[in-house]
Amino acid sequence: MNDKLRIMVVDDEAIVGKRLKPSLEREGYEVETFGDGTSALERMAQKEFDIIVTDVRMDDVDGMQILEHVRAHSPRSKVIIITGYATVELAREALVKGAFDFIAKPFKPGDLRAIIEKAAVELAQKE
Amino acid sequence: MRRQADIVVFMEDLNLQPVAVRYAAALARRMRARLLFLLLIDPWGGDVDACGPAGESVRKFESQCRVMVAQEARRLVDEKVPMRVEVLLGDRRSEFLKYMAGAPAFHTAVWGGTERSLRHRSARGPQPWTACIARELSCPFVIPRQKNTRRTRGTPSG
Repeated sequence: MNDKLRIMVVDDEAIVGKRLKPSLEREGYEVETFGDGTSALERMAQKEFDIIVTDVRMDDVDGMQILEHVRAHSPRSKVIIITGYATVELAREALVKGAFDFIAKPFKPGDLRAIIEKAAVELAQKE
Repeated sequence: MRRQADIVVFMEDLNLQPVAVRYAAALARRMRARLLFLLLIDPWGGDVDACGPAGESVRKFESQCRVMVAQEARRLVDEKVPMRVEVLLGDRRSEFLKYMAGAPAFHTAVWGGTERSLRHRSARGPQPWTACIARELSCPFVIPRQKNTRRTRGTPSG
């Protein structure tokens, strides 16, 4: 059985996925990256992810819509919001809507890894 | 008599400035407010790929920071002034925004670090994270400065 944690990264800035994928794979996670919200939602219909890391501002489907979709269809999954337009209002909206965590860009991979580790612990405790 | 909202002292490391503590304590006493020392610390520092403390060691690190700040602050704050310390670990700007998302009631915010660190620009961003404090707070943000007590030549003493 594959017990690797499945992580989805959604960001229309390709560099984000390109940098995060190897960094998270080195930690032993299974990572898939997507450059837009629509293809991310399509993939979610086929496969369940444990953790979804998503940007907020994207064309078509934005990060808040992804968060709402995950909360409605896969409440066990943890959503981590990343954004270059971080404000208190946005942080509040994300947390009220059920985001596991919120991180302002630019951030260091170590910051995200620490949050993912926390999410992994919570997921393990619930199983 | 009802106590006012907290006087918050923002810190970004364990280098707590006595001038800031004394200012905040005097204000808290006058306003019958509580003092909150809010330490935002990034255990991963400036190193992009560094592995900071994890799991249990994070909690231990947090607890040690809390004790150290509380001891240092209590040396300068009258016992009658209620105070507490909160430690937020991680990216400082993100942690600050999340904390503020909880709508804490602050009467005044005081910068507890050095003036130099307030101006320091991060290599990763166009602005220091502390610029975020001034922009997002709805209460006054004070940067206490040490008064220059040095006497000029010829000034009579006493």
